[in-house]
Amino acid sequence: MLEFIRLHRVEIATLTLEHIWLVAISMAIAVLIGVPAGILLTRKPKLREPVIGGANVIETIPSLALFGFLLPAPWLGARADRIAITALALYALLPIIRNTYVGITGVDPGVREAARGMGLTSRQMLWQVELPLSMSVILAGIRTATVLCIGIATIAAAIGAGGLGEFIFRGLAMVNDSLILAGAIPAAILALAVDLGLGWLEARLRPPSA
Amino acid sequence: MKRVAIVLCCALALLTTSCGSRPNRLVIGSKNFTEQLILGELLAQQIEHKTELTVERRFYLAGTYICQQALLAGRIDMYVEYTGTALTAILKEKPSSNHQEAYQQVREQYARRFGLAVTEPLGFDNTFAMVIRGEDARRLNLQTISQAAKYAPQWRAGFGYEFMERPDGYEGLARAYGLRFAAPPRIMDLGLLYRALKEKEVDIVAGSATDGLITALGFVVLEDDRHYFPPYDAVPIVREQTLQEHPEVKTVLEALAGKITAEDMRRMNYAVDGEHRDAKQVVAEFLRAKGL
Amino acid sequence: MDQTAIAFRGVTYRAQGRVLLGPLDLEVRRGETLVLLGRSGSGKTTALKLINRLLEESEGTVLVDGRPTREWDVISLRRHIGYVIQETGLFPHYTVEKNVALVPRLLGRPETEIQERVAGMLRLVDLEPQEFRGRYPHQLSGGQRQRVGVARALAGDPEILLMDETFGALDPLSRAELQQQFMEIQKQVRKTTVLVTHDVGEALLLANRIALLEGGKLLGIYSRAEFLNSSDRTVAAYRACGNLQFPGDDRHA
Repeated sequence: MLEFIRLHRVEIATLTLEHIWLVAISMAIAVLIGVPAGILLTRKPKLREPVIGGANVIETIPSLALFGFLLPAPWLGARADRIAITALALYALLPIIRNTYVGITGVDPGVREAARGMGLTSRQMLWQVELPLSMSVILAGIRTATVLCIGIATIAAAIGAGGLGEFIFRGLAMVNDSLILAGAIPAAILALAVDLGLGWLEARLRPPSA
Repeated sequence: MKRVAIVLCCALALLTTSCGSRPNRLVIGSKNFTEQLILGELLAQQIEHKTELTVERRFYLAGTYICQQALLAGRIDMYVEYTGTALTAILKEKPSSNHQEAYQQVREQYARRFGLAVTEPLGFDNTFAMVIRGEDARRLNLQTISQAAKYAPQWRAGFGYEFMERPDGYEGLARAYGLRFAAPPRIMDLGLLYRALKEKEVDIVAGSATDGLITALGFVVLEDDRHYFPPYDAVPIVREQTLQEHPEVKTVLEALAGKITAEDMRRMNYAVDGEHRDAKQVVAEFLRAKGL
Repeated sequence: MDQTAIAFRGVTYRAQGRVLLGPLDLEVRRGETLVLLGRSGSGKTTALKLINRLLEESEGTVLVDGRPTREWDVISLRRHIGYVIQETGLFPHYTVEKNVALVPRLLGRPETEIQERVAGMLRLVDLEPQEFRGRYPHQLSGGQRQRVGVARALAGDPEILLMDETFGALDPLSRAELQQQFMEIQKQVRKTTVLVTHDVGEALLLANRIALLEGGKLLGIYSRAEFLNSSDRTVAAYRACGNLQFPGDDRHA
């Protein structure tokens, strides 16, 4: 196994980087859309049902199927990486939106009332109180989403988006365990590393409770 | 928090530039069957021998679509495609029965739509071949597909995924020859078709004209008397950008034009598939023998 | 009119079809401490929140400094009123210093002034600035947190101070300490204060006048003496259940 790693180290590195790139871009998009969406839901509670309901539906679509749905889409469907990134971002949305919403509504009502009473505007409330105090929960959502994406991204190789899944699929086709592991192990390590790293950050950002 | 963000941005920037080929490194792709591996290896060795460039091999990509995507995204710089496949599967055009016409269409459209260059054909046509066991061919005196069509209702057929799904595959063939099988064709991995034929699990398979196992296992290729199957000339497809950055690559590819015959391909395929020899060695031998 | 800091004119507050408060007519004089006394559900907190518009009256008008609160810019109104609640609502992610400096910063005061003000406020509530300004709320005791809460409410130099059951959650000793502290502070700063409590003892200790509320209605307004001598049945009932002990009975009579 070690010999295999040594021989294929360039390829393993290349595919790992591709994998990270896919996940990073998707997560960036998901966070840029998801966090503001979550904030919006706390301001307009009527939207909560449809938005979270919609995200839930997307979540239940099997990843390979979602890739397939996006294939005929104009511009998006022309390139496998666009399809993969779109699908990954869509999957990442639910945990992020939901956690943002829960985090913000979960802010201590005493703090919220005191803040209102002192004359903070809605915007100041958001930036000085709500976001800082819910950062930990939001990050938990991002963490869940990222780990999810790392896993789903392995399937993206099936439609030609590259990444560690390429090893896995190739290994399956050739019935070669080493290849499968060459894809599965780095992916697992990636997921673990992200989980631990963001978990650490999450703990640091938790507001100290009295 | 700010520091974290800066580090992340730098990492991201680094990532986006590191994907794909670097200055003096080319990535050559191939699909996941023996012939493709041989051709990919051939391109790789030629470029390694004749230029200063290093070559990274990214073989075993799972199909035409995957290769195309990898090419467009810059994950590979070139791979060998077949004109017929490019025409129908990628360009979504109607199949052509004329070699020159097919090649010209592919070349022109690939350049226009994708910025991909198609160099000179390598010299053989890997068209679909309807293959049956030698003993059946002799016993029933079959030479053409039309003759075999009579026995279709008693036969089981075995085809690969692509053959089943492509417009220039099973669908058209069945129509052209009025083929009707007893049961729906069995779909299996390309690598398993000939074994199934040998083991009599199926009676007819759609293989390729250059499959090494055809001669090795004593199979027979039925003649396409109605000229259903379009031409599938093997052509290297390269990113324009790669050719611009490395004009020496163009020279290498042009030198390969017409140098590989169908018989050459079959022999190399058999050496790897049948004799289980290392593809690298087989290719090296071939290049030496041809004086390339 | 100048002597009246806050006025309720025919104010009613309705929620979910029920009348929780009103009609209420009440005046708070400048510089006095008016205690709204009543049991839970009597409407006292509601009345308090109508002053800084955390709630909006269904009918009638609440006037602050002679102007209807509806005509004030609500943010501006709130920044000029100090507000202390029972849970303090200190921002857990802000130091004591940042918490106390909140309103002055919102008002755009220069930084040097803010720093002085913070130190001043902390000293006022008997918390040594050097020791406490860098601490976080979770590092403070309940009593200390309440003091910071008061310091924060006063930091913006508001005309009016609203306090909602501020000392309720503390142990008896801390509560007594803080009540004393509050009276000291009042001697120094003389803010118009509306204080909500259900504790008779506290009311009698801290109030210039007591407004007794029951079932959303104002039963009466009493000075300390009047309250102690009233023959009204409800007042008598309150007197009976309160632990009425007043060490050193020499404050504002």
